Amino acid sequence: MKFLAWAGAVSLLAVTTDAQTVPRVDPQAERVLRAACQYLAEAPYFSINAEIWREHVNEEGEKVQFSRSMEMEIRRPNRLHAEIASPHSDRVFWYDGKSLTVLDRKQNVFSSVNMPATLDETIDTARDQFGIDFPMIDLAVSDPWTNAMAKVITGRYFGLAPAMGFNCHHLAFTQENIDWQIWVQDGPQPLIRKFIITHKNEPGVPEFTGLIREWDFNSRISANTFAFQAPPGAMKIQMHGDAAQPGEGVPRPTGATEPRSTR
Amino acid sequence: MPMIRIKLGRWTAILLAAGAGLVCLPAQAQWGSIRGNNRAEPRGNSQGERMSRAPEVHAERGRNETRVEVPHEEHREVFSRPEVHEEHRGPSEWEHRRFDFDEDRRRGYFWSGIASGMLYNALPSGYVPITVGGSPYYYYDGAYYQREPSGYMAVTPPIGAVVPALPPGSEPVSTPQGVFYYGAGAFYVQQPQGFQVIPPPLGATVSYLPPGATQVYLRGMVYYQAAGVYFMPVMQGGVTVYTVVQP
Repeated sequence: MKFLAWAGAVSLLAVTTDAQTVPRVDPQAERVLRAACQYLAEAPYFSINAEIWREHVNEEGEKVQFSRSMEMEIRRPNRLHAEIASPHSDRVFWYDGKSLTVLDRKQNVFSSVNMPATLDETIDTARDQFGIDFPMIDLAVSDPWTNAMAKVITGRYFGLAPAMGFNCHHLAFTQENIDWQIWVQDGPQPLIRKFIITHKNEPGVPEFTGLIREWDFNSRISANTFAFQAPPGAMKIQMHGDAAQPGEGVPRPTGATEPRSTR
Repeated sequence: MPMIRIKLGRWTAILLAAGAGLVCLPAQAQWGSIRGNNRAEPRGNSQGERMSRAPEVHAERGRNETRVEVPHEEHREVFSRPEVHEEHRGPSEWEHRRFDFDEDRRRGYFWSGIASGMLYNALPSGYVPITVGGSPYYYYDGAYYQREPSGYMAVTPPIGAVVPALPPGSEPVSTPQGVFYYGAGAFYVQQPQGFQVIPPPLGATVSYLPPGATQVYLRGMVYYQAAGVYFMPVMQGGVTVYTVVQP
């Protein structure tokens, strides 16, 4: 009986150890990232002006990088306004603590859905239920440190390096699903200036890059910034859930598009 | 009798390989934040599940080209049109997640600059002659042309045309009727000898409109119309996509 209890305890320990792998993070990397995250978490509101790059690997294996400008205003704990734009695409997001509205400026159509009462919950709901990706939303969560470290395996510190014209601490972290790097401005304001996610398990290993040109922690953000007002002529359209299959809610095909016989 | 050799496109080769389980199709699940990447994927969106559900390709495997007999003196229909035998597999999870850069991506393809009604002095090098319903057409990388007295005019993809490979940048589209493909503004179904242009299947959702689509308002709703087909805009994944409807 004692043996069984001992064996059980050992098994439990093994499972626990396996499931809760302690991250191996360089102390300097931890210190820099903690400072950056704490600085962000303590800011009641802020805005950024950034550029984001996304890589796409096509069927030929060719990697192409597409860029967008991005402006984002955050007021904790439940306000967000973001505009992600290029000459071909212009999308604006408003979250006012109750609903999320997405405007496609190019087509002048918008869609709104109810959301939870906090930004953290809304980020997850928008992602899980509607497939909405808020780039660099890690800056806006209530606890950036816990969010960043949630699945980290290793973290390293590479010293100072220039990024966006600032002398920055260069950190690199690994996870099972992604690797990510971050450049944190040296000095009294530990501002994040550059951020890269490497999707190492995806074909072609595409990367996401965020480059933050400007941070503003001082200018008060008007409440109107977070309130959606439809532009002239804008039409409301449905928002489909991410898991919804194309064809749901539309008439059944007829004529030439009747279901085919199966083999 | 002369023979012509038509090389299958890389897309076709990849689909063949995917059907055989040889390659991973792009999962495109990447998110622009640590938080987004760390969330569990919604139902059926894991890469493995996508791959396991990738549509099979009903074509001879192990070859990278196909031979089609064509009478030399006339351009009769190059490809036979056997019965469609697309297997209904239920909703596919293979469709990629919607990205706002899809709009940029398609601008890099040859067909993106071609709209129905444009007139050209010459056909692009590498065109394929086809015949549909007794009428001669010319095809190149998603664009269809017909001979005019003053040159070659770009035309709407003719229903029934069979081409050796999907237009570049094509996307799979799942509907209650099965999996189709959408490329350069036309819908295709797979055939043993290529891909056949079909009428737009109601309920199909695509990431961009056919070239030349115009916005129309019906009963207080906004639609887009192209060649008599209506597309209803809906928001999916934070971007506007378009569903074929009968308003």
